Amino acid sequence: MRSDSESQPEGPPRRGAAAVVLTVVITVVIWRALEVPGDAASALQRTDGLTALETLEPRATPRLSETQAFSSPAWPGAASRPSLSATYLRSVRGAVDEVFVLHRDAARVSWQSPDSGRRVDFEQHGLDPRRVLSQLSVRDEGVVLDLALGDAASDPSAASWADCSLGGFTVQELTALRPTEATREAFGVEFRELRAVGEHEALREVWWNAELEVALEWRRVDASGEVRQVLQDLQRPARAGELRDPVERHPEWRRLDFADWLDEVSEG
Amino acid sequence: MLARSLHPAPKSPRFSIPGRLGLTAWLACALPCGSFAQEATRPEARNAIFFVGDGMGISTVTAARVFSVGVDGQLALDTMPFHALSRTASSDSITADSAATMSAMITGVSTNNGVISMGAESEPADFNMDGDGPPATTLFELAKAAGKRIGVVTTTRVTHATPAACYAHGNHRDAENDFALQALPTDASYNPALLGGLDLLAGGGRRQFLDASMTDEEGEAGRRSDGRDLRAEFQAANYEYVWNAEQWSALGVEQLPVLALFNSSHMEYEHDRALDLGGEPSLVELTLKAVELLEASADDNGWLLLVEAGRIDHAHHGGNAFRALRETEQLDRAVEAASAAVNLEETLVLVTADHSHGFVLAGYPLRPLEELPYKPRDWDEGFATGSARDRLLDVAYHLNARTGEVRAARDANGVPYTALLYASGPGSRTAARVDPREDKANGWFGAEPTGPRDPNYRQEAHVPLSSETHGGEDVSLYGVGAGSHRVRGTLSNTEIFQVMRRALGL
Ligand SMILES: [Zn+2]
Repeated sequence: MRSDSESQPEGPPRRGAAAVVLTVVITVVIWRALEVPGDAASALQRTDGLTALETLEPRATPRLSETQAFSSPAWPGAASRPSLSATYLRSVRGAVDEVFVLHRDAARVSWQSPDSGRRVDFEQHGLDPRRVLSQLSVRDEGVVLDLALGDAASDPSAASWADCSLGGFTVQELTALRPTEATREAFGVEFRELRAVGEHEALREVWWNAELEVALEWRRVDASGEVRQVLQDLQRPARAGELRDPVERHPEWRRLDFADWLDEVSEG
Repeated sequence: MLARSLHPAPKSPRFSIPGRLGLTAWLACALPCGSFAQEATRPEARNAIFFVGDGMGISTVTAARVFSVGVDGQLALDTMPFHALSRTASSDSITADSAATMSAMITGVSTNNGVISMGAESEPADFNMDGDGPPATTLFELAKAAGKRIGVVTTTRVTHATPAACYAHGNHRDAENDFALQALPTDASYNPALLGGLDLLAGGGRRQFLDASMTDEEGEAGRRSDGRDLRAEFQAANYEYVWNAEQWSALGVEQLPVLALFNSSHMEYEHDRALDLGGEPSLVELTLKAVELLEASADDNGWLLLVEAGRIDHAHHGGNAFRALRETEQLDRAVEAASAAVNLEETLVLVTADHSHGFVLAGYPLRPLEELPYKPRDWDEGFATGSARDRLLDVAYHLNARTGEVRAARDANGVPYTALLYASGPGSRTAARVDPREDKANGWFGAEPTGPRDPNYRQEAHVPLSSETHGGEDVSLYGVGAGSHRVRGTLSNTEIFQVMRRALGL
């Protein structure tokens, strides 16, 4: 038994961390700030020197019955949502177009970025139907990574079951648009134009079919530029097997928490 | 419990520091050695709280100070009277992981990265297949043998490396399902050195206590493959089981021993805590209740508590300083609250980190405008308002001494930059640098940050890696209360064990 801290320079080689920079950018998002409680922040503004510090009152914590912190809309109803696979071409701020596929049925949603080999699978939460359990699969790494609630909620369009079902914008953004008289037909479906009322809405327009709850095209503009997504193919129901649990889809891949994976690839 | 000043009169050491040979001999002997030490003289400390900020390097503490209480403010850590540097290298690595460092701090025995409270003879996962060395006795095992109440509290899974090193032994940190069994008194794998068992085990990690076919209270599946529900087995072994903040706050001393599992995996980041379905206590609430229960249940032999802020590390790995600093702030508030709640004349409070991160506070960012000792002649609009926290997170603003103007500092290509940066990690920008205030491309989990002050902004990193890495420099060790005077100089992390052992007379 050693009782000192001598190091052994001939230790096992450290596994090189993957060179892939993991950026979950297969969706286009807007930022919705999670508020830092103001009272907590002000309580910490102290510069009272070396005097003894008072005991802080524990802050109130959310209870099971108080779910206002999770401000997700109930709409649209998932149970009746038609099953489909929608393939889009997405153009992000003038960069090279990329393929984005939305698979969806009543219980699961999947966002697939075939070019990057990444995919996020969402499953409606069993206890709170507004929530989602989400997993990120990375083909090059052979891993299925469980995302924490807070991880997914950082992306407003992935924060809830209703939002993630839309594949790129939020229910709140969609419902802020106003329908025009313009319609277009594609893939045997009629889409109506929805337009932003003011100039400050990031989501500028969506061509929308309310029955299928799917977009033919949408466009958003913010300070960093324009993102446009256009439907290339629509299949109903969703392509077979695409909405299987990712762990079943890739039984040979490792499954772990995203946070643990970061720790692991860092520490070798 | 009495609220006391953080500054009791320093006491003289009552034990001489043994030489290395003497220490080795002591470690090799059986548990009753502790009893012998107790007979020789009354211990300085009846109780101890060991706070560990996982990945809380010195730059993280400094940034957390500015973030939380301002440039001239004082964290509770800053007010602690004793301070040392702790060396963190493990037996096989210059830059260590949490398994090796916590094992070193809680057993006094240096070991290899990945190993949980076993000596350096045990290579990670026994890759040589030559068998493991013996388990290294933990401070918690010694404390239990001396009749103390023992508790482990963390924001990670309770079977994660840092908490597990207190009560379990294994050649690899990933054996979390096994660590859960080592804490279960009725299981064949139970760690017998825990005698009657942990009195309190609280944090995340329900999945390690539940078969994969079972769903927990928050709708998530277990990760065991043996068909067992350890929640029920702990209850059958006389443990009170709770799983949400409301139940935690209602716990009374008569309900010890307690197993509290608030999340399927790690508890949520403090920044995201309000999203939790069942409600999670904050680290402050975890700490205060743990102290209350241990104090109320302990006899003259007192108690020993680990409190880990385990997700500072995770946020840094993800390249997100905001969450790392919120976690650090919570740890500081827990230290503050606990130090005020205990009697420091009989309680040792230590705070340290297991290792650092490649996280820097660099450049020359100015203080907020109203704090400047002079009035600049002009300034950029972005500098006109904002707190110290804003100045820390935002692009750095410099004073041009020739013109008296405050402008955003710029790199060699004229592009502004932030003071908080990482040496490596997912914050690396593959394209040319852009003004951080316009940089939407690299937010936390696909978020598009509004700028560097946004909680989801990922600071820029130099070397592109999926995960930002630990740092190998020394970390701070802070002490207050009974026996804390031994916190001084530059220590090996194994000596932190000795500081606590001597104070507690174990
Ligand atoms: Zn780490």
